[in-house]
Amino acid sequence: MAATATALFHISIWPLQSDHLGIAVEICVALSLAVYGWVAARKAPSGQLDRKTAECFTLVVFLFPLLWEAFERWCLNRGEAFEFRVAACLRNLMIACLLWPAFSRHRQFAAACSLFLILFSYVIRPNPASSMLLVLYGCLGLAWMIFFSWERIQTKMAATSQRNIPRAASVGGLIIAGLLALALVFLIPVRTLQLNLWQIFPSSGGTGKSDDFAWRGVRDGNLLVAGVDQADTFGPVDSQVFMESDQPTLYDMMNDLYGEDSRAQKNRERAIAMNQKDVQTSTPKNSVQETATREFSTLRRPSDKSARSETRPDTKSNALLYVPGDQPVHLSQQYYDKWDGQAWSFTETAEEPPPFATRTEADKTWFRWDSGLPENFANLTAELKIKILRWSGNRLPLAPLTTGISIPKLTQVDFLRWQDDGSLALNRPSIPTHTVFSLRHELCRRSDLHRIPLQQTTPSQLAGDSPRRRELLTTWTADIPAGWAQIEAIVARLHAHCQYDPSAIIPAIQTDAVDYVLFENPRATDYLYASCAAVLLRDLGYQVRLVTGFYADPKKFDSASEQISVEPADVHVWLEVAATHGAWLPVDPTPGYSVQYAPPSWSEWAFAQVANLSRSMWENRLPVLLTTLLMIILWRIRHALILGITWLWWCAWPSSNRRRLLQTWRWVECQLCWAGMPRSQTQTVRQYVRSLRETFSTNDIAVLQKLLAQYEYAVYSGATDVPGPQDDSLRLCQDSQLVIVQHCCPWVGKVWNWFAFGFLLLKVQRS
Amino acid sequence: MTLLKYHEPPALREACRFQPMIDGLRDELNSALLGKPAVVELVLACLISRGHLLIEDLPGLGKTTLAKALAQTVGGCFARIQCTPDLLPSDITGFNIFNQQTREFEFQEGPVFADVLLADEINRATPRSQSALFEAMAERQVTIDRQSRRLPPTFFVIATQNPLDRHGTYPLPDAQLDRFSIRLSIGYPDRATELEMLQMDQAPRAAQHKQLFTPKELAELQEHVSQVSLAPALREYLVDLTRATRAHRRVSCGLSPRGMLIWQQMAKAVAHLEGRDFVLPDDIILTAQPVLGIRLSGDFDHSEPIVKEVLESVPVPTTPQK
Repeated sequence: MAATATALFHISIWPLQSDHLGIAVEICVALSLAVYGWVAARKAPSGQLDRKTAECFTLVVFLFPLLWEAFERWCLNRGEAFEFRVAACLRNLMIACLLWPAFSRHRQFAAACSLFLILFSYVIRPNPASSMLLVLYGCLGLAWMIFFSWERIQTKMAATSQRNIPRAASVGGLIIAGLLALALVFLIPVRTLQLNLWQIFPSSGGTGKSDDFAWRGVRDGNLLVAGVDQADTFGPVDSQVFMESDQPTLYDMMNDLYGEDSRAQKNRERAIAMNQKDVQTSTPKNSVQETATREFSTLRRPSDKSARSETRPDTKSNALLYVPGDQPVHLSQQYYDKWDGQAWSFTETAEEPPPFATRTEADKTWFRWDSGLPENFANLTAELKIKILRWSGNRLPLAPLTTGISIPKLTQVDFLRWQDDGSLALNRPSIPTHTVFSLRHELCRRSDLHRIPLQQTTPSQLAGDSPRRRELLTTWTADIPAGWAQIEAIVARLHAHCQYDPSAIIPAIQTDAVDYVLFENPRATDYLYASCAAVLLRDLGYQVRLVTGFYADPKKFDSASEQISVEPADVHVWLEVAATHGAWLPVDPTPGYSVQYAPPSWSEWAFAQVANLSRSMWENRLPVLLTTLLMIILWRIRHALILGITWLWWCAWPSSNRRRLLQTWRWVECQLCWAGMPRSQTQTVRQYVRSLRETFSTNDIAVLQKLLAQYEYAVYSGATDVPGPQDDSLRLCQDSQLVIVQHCCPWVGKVWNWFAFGFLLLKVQRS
Repeated sequence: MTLLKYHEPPALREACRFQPMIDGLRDELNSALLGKPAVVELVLACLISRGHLLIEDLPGLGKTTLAKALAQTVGGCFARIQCTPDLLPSDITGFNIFNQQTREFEFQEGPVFADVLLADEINRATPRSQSALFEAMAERQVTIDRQSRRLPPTFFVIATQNPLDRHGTYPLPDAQLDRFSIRLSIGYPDRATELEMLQMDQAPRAAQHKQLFTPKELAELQEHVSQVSLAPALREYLVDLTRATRAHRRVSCGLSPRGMLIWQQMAKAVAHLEGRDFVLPDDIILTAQPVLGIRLSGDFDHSEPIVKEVLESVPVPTTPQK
C-alpha cells in the first residue's frame, strides 16, 4: 500500500519536478531511508533498535522536505508548492514508520498516511493510470484489513456458517472481483472525483515553475479559480487571459464590435502605442503573408534562421497557438489547387461556400456547416480547443473535416467569412491573442476510407504532362484498385523513393519541381512530398488540393499542461483529396507525420493486430521457424539442459553442501511438480517421498531418501552447513537429479547410460 | 543405478549415551504390551519429555500392565492409587499427624511423593480428590498446611480411565486434562498378537521388569531431550497450528500456551527417540493427535477430523528461515 501510494505520488509530481538538484535530493532521502531500513532489519531479530536513534531519524526525515524548501527559497530563490512538501513529509514519515517495526500501531499510522498520500496524489493528476493505481491501492487496503481482522472474521464466520467455500467458487469470485476492479478504473468519474477531492485537499497555489515568483496558482484568486474550472483556459500560467498584457484581448474586441462597452476599449485598441521594435518585426510579416495567400512556390531560398522574429515581451512562450490533447492535428490555413510546375496557386471559383447554421449549446454559440462527409463514414465527432497566442492574420486554423466553430462572445455569423481559397477567416484584421475557440471536426476510421467514393476528374488538368511520370505511375499503381488503396500506395512509394531532407531545395532553373524530385534528386521536404503526391494523384484522376498550415506534433505534447504547443517551426504542407459530396480527406505524404483517424472498433483492432502479427511472422518466416524449432527442441531436452546447466554451475561456482542440497531439493520438487506429482503444502517432505514409493524403483527411492535425510538436516537442524565430503554431497545431488530426469524423460537416462558406459570403457582402456 | 554409499548426516543415535537404556526400555515395554510399538513410542516420548500420561481405553486392554511395566523399568519409588469415590485428597498428598512422643506434627508423605505414580481409574475419584493432583502435576510440588513440599524432579503420573463405564465416575475437568501431556488409547491387539498372548500364557512368565534407569539418569535424559533443537520455521509452524486450533469453527477451547509447550517437548522427545537432535515437521504432526486430542473441546465427539483439519490448514515449512 505504501509502495502504491509512493509510486502514485512520484508519478503525479514527476512532471512538475524537473530540476536535477531536487531529484538528487530525493534520491539521497531514498538512500538514507534504505540504509535505515537495512539497519532496522539487522536489529530486528534481537528486537533492540535504539529507540532514541529511531525517533531522531524519523523526525529528521519527516522535517527534511520543509527544511529543504526553506533552503531553496532563501538560497536558490525558488521552491515547490507547500502542499507537495507536506506530502513529501508524510511520505517520509510513512516509510520510516514502516521500517521501524517496534509497534503495530506504526503500521496503522503508515496506512493512514498512505491513504492521505494516494488521495492527494490522485487529485494532482487524475488519469486512467492513476485510477488504476487507486483501485490497486483499494484492493491492497482491503486485503490488508482482511488479513489483520482475519481471526475476528473467522470467528464471525464460524458463528454463522459451517460450510466451506469451494475452491472453484473462490477462484471465480476473485476473477469477478478483479474484473470489477478493472471496470471500476474506467468507470470512475475522474473529473467529479477530482473536484470533490479538491474540497478535501486545499492547495496553496502555483508551483513556481512557470515563473520564479509566480506563487499565485491554483485556488489562489478568483481569476485563477475560474481559470482552472473553465475548460477554455487550458494554457500555462504565463499565457492565461488574466495576465497583464498590453495586447487587446478577444473580450475587448467583442465589446468593441458590439458596442456594449466601449470607448475605453475602442481607444485602447486604436491608441495602443507599440514600441518601434514590434512595429518593425510585424510589418514585413504582414507583407509576406499577403503574398503567400496568392501563391505557394516550391522554389525557396535557404532559410535564414537569424531573421526569425523575436518573442513578444509579455510572454516567454514562442508558441503560435496551443492545442490540448496528444493527438496529431493538421491545422489548415490556406488551400491551393493550381499547379504550374513550380508554384501552387488557387483559382477563385464561383462555387458558393457552405452556409453557416447557428446553434446555441450550453451557453456556447456554434456556427456549423456541412463537411460533406457522408454520415455513415463520420464515426466520431471530436471537439478541439485552440488557444491563439501569437497568430498573425485573421484566418482561423481549421482541422480537416471541420463542421463547426464556436468563439466565446461571438454570436453573430457575420463576424465569420469564407475566403476565396475555401479557408475561414475572422472578419477583422487579426485574431486577438489569448482567444480560445472550439472546433468540431469529423473523424472517420482508416478502414472506412477505402469505402468512401472519391471524386474523379479528367487527368488533363495539369499544366504539363510528363511521359516518364506516367510510366512511373503505371509501375507504382499496377494491380492496385482505384480508390484509397492507390493513394496509400502512392504515399508508401514516395516514402520508399524519396529521402526526407528538410533542407532540400529545388534549383530555380527547374521547370518541374515534381519531376526533379522524382527522377533527378529524390530528396524532399514536406511541401515537395505534398506536391509530388498531389501531382501524381492528379495524374491518376483524383481531385486534390494542397494545404498549408501547422501540424500539432504529438511528440511535443507537454504532459504538465496536457497540450501541444504549435510554434512557427511547425509550419507544414499536406494535401487533401476530394470525396464525392464535397468532403476533403486529409493525406499527409511526409514521413513522420500522421493524420488523426477515429479509433478502430474492437473487432477491427483485433483483426489488425492479428494481421500485423501474421504479416510480421510471414515476413520473418525463417527466423520464426528456426526459433520455434529451437523452442521445441529446448522444451524436449529441458531436463537434460537444466541438468547440464546445474552441473556446470556447480563445477564453475562451488557452493556449500547445504546450499547445494537446498537447490537440489527445490529442483527435484519443481521437476516432479511439472511431471504431475506436486507436493501438497501441508505435506512434509518425508511424507512426500513416501508417497513416491509406488512411482519410483526401490533404488531410486533409496537415493531420494538419502537426499531427504541430508535435506532435513540442512533445513531443520539449524546447522550452517551439512558436514561431510564435498564430493559425496555433489554425487548425491547429481544422482538425485538423474533419478528424477530418468523418470521424467527416459531418453535422457538412456543417453546418460551410454555416456557413462563410454566413459567407463575409456577409463578401462586407459588403465 | 546402483545405490552408492553416501555420507550420512550426523545422527544422535550413536552419540547419545542414553540410547542403550532407551532401547532396553522400549524392549521391556514392548514385551509387556504386545503388538503396540507405536503406543510404546508415545509412552516413551511422554516419559522423557517430562510429561504425564493418561491412558484411556476399554477394560482389559493392558492399561495397568503398561503403567506398571513402565513404573518398574524407570525405577525409583513407585506408588499406586486405586481411585474410588471415597478417596480423600490427603490420601494422595499426605497429611500431618501429631507425634505424641515428640509432641510435634510429623508429615506423612502420600503416594504423590513417588517417582512414578499410577492413578488407576482416575475418573472414579471425586473432583475434590482429582484436584489434589493439580499442583503436583503442573508444578511438581504439593502444599499442605501452608507448606509447599517439592516432589521428585522425575515425578511422572500415569493415569488410566475407562471411557465406557460412566456410572459412578467423575469426568476429568479441562484443567486436569491440560496437565496431562498426551492421552493414549491402546486398542485391541491384532490376531497374531493375541495368538502370541495365548502361547505366552501357557508358560507364565514373571511379571517383573528389570529397572533400567535411576531417577537421576532419567532426569538427565529429560534434560538432554529438552536440548533438542527446534528450527525457527518450525517454531512458527507450531504457533500457527496452535492458533489454528483456536480459530477452528468447531473448537470452543483451543490449545493453551501450556499445551503448546508440551507439544514442543513431545516433538523433541519423538525426534530424540528417532535418533535426531533436531525436530522435523513429521514429529510435530505425529504428536498432534495425542496432544490435541486431550485438549480440544467443542461440538464434536471425536477429535481426529478436527486435528486433521487443523494440520491441513497450515502449510508445512520446507525452506530454511532467512
